[in-house]
Amino acid sequence: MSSSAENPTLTTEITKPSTEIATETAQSAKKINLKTSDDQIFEVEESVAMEFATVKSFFEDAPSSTDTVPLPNVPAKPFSQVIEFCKEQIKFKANPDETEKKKSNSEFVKEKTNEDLVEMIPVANYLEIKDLLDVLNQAVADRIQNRSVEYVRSFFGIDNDFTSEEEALLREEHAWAFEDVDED
Amino acid sequence: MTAAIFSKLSDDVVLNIFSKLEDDPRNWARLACVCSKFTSLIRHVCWKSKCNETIPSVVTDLLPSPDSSFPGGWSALYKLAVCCPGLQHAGVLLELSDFGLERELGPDDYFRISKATPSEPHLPQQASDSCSNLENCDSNLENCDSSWSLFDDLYYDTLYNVSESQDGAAASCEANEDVIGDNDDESVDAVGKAGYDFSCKQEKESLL
Repeated sequence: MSSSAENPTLTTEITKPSTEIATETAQSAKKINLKTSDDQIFEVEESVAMEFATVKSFFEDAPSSTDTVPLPNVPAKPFSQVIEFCKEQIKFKANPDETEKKKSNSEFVKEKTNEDLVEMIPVANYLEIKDLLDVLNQAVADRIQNRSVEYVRSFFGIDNDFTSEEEALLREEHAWAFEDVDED
Repeated sequence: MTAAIFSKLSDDVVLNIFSKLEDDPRNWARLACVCSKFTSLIRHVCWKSKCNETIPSVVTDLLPSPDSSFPGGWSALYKLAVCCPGLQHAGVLLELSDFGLERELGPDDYFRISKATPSEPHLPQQASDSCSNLENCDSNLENCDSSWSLFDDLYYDTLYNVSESQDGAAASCEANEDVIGDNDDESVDAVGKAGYDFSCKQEKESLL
């Protein structure tokens, strides 16, 4: 009997190191279901979901809603990465440390492929996660700067919609910009 | 897949990415070659805002009303702004200048420098920066003192000659003195000024 009474205290001590978020969200450890465009359902803590301004305003408009929130413009793959980012962000909200935050942000984008980044931007934009959008935009800018036109096209998956004459003319006009371009 | 996503993206986001690439003017110029959407964004938004930001006085001079346009568009003006950094200070020189009355820009300093170092391309700098002008002048004068220079000889020769025949020029010297002001030896300065054209010609001849 006594051992079973001790056990619960032990477990709370073990979970404690997972920082203040636990205590912060303890009062509102409510989970929110978010449904992506490819019909996957993500169960997300409310504190994380509130990072998404779009979701937040959904609940402000309908506070009593307990339904699953549909996210028609959000595919599952980039969304899971967005959630990962927001979980990290929340840690810094409780304990603001700009240098640590920057470091964590840059590590977050560093391990992402070009495709991941480009897929996450519309998601961050749709969900209105300003911090993430800023981090992603900077990362994309860093990756396309000093790169060739062809590289940028393939980076964004953009089709060349110029005729060859138009493109030749444009390139001639901007000939000065094509010196010292990095190798693809 | 990515293509579809990205083309749906709002211009704001694309412009935000572009804005992070503005440090190197070549980035925008290259991006303008990627596709027609990028071209129009860069031409009509990026270059326009950059021009308004960096060379506002030129823009207002060229565009009497905000709606009007000019030949070549923002692309041309931006290229001009990149290639002619002096445009950033356009308008400043006129504010300092008193339209040829030779007060603010220190004409005598300017003459001495051009005389002491006739081969150095000092002139544009001096016009835009009168502080460094004075510093240059000081160091140049020191150089003059420490080493013999043909131009110095010619200059002081001329000065001497003119002051000998100063009687004739006295009236104009006095008129100049009011303007010149802060020099220790006003008459010498005025004469130096009067004799400048002459000595300058001599320099040119001796150079040739």
